[in-house]
Amino acid sequence: MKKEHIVIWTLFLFLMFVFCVEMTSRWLYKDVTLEAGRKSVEVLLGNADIYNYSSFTPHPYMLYENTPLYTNSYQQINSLGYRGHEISETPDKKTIRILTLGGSTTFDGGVENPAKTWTAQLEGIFNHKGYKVETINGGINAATSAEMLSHYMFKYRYLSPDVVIVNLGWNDTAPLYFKDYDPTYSKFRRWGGLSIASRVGEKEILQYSYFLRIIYAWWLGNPKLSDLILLPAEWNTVKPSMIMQNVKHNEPIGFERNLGVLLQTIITDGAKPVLFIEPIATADIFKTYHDDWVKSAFSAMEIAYEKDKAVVRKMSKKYHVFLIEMPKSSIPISDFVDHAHVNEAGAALKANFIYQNLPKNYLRKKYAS
Amino acid sequence: MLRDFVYKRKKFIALLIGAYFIFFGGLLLYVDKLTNTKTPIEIIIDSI
Repeated sequence: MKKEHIVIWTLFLFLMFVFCVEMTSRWLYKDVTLEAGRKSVEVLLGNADIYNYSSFTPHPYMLYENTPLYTNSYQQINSLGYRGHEISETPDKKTIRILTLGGSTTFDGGVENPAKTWTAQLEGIFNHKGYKVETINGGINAATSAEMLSHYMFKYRYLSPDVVIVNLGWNDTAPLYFKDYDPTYSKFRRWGGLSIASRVGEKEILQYSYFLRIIYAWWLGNPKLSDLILLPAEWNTVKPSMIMQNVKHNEPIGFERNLGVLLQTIITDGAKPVLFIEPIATADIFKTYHDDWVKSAFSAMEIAYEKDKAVVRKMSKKYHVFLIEMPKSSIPISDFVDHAHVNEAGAALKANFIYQNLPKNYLRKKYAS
Repeated sequence: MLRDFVYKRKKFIALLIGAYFIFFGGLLLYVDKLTNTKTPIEIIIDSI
C-alpha cells in the first residue's frame, strides 16, 4: 500500500471516528452528564449567569441567601427568597404572622411539596383550628446561627412577625468539628463568589463540540457549597477521630453569642421568640441511609448537638424565651430521609408538636382588638 | 485497499471501538447510579 493511501485512509478513519463520537455525544449529552456540570458549561459558553442557576446567591452582608424564584424538585423559592407561596412583606393586621428561622431542617430539604413543610403544615393546623395564622419559612440551607442572625438583622425583621420560631443548633455543630475554633466562625466560613471564566478559544470549541462539553461538564463539575461559603474546603474529608477530639475540646461560644443577640433583637422588635429543639435520627438510620463519613462521625456529631442544645436551654432561661423541645425518639426512623432531615410525615409530627406546645396566648394579640 | 488497511490495524481499530463503547456506556451507567442514589439534601447541595 502506498504511503499516501495510508495517510488518506488513516485520516478518513480518524474523521469517521470523530464524527461518530461527536454524533453520539450530541445524542447522549444530557444522559451522560450531571445537571450541575451542564450548568457550568452553559456559564462557560456565556449562555447563563452562574447565579441564575444556583439556589444560593452570595450576599455582601448575609453571606448568601436563597435565590428568589429558584425552583427544583426540592426547592421552591418565592420572589422574596422564602420557601413556599408568595407572601406580602407587609403583614395583614388581622393575621398572626409566624416566622420560622433555621437551616435545611426548617427549609425542610426532605420534603418535596412546599405545602407540606412543617412551617406550612403548622399554618394549616392553626387555621383548621380557627386561628388566622400565616407562617413564613425562613429556612436557609446550610445556615448556622451566624447566617440566621444576619438574615434577621437585614431582612426578616422587616416582615414584622408576631412570633419567631428559632430552630437552630444542628448546623452550628459543624464549626465545632474543626481545630482553631473561632466564635466568629471565620475559620469555618468565608465569602467566596463563584466564577467560571473561559480562556481563549474555549468558548468557540465548546460551541461546536459536544464531546468536549461532556469532558468539561465532568471536569468543571459542580461548584460545591464549600467553594462558596465553607471552610475548611472539603469538610467531609476530616477524619472522624479528629472530629471527636475537636468536638470535645471546642465550646459553642459563637452559637451562644449569636443566639443571644438574635433573641434580644426579636424581643426588642416586639415579637415573641420561641426556641425549638428538634430531634435528629438515632444511629439506626444507617441501616437504611448510607453515608460512611456521617456514620463514622455521627457519635461526635451527637455530642456537638448536645452541647448546642444545652446552649438553647440556657438561652431560654436567660431571656425567658419559651422552649419547645421534641423528645429524641418522637419521630420514627422511617420518617427520616437521612440523619437530620424528615419527610412529609416527619414534618407533620413537628408541626403538630409545635401546635400543641406553643402558648396560645402568643396568638391572642390581634384577636383582642 | 481499505480491507488491507483495516486488516493491518485491526487491533488499533478494535481498541478505538472498545474505547468508544466503554466511554459512553460507562458514563451512562455512572450517571444512572449517581442520580438514583442521591438523597434530597444532596440534590439541594448540588443545586448551588
